[in-house]
Amino acid sequence: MIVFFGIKKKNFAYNAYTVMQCPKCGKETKHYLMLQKRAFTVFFIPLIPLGTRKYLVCEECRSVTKVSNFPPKDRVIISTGAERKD
Amino acid sequence: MRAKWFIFILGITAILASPAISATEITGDYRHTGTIPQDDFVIYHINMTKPGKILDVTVTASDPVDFYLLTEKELSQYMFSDAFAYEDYSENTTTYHWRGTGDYYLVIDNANVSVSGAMSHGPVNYTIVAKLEDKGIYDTLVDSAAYLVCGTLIVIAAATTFWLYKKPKIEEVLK
Ligand SMILES: [Zn+2]
Repeated sequence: MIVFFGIKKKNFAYNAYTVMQCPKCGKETKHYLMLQKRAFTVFFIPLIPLGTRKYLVCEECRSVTKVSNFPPKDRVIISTGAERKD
Repeated sequence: MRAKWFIFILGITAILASPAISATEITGDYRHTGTIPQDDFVIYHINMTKPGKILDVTVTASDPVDFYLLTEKELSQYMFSDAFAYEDYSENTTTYHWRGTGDYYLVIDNANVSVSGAMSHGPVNYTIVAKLEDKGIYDTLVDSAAYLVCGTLIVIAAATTFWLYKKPKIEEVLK
C-alpha cells in the first residue's frame, strides 16, 4: 500500500503592518503581518499540527521575511480597510 | 386510464404472488447430505446480520458443481438475470471461512447458468457441513481496538483541520 505523507501549509495575511527597513530592497516601507500554520498530513488529511510561523511581507518588493516574533503592539498599525486576500 | 390501473394492479399482484426464494437456514452446527437433480440448485441461507458471526462451511460433491456465496442482491441477480456478482466462488469441493455482516446465501449449483462454471451431466450427491458461530473474545478485542484507533484518528484529524484553517484574530497574534 502506498501511503502519502506531506505537509499542508495555510497562510493568513493580516491587514496590519509595521514600518521598517526591508532586508531585501532596503527601503523603509510597510511590512504586512502574515501567519503560516503547518500540519503533517497522511493521505492529504491533516493529522499533526506542526506549529505556526510568522512572516513580514514587504509592500514594495513583496519579499517575505521570517521572524521569530512580531513587533510589539505599539509598533503595529491595524488598518481598517478591506481584508487582504493573500 | 382505467386500463392502466388494471395493468398496474395485475403487475403488483403478480409480484406478490411470485414464489419466494426457498432456502434452508444454517444455524449452529449443520450437516446434511442430499442430491441435486441435473439443471437444479439448492440454496442455504446464513443469517449473519448480528455482527461477530463466523461461518465455516465445507461442501463435498460427487461431481463438479458451482458454489457461490451471495448477498441477497446478488442472489436475486443470480435467479433472475444472466450476469451476477458474487462474494466468493469455487468450482470443486470447497471450504469457506467467512466473516461478514448481513444475510448471505450459499448456492450449490448443478445447472449451467454460467459459461465458465461446471457443466451439469446428471444428479449430484453432496454433503454440507457448516458451523455458524459467534466471534471469539480475541477477535472482538481486535475489532474494538481497530474501531477505537479509527475513531481517535478521525477526532484528531477533525481537530487538526479545524486548527489549521482557523485564522487567529490579530489581537491574539500580537499578544
Ligand atoms: Zn522590500
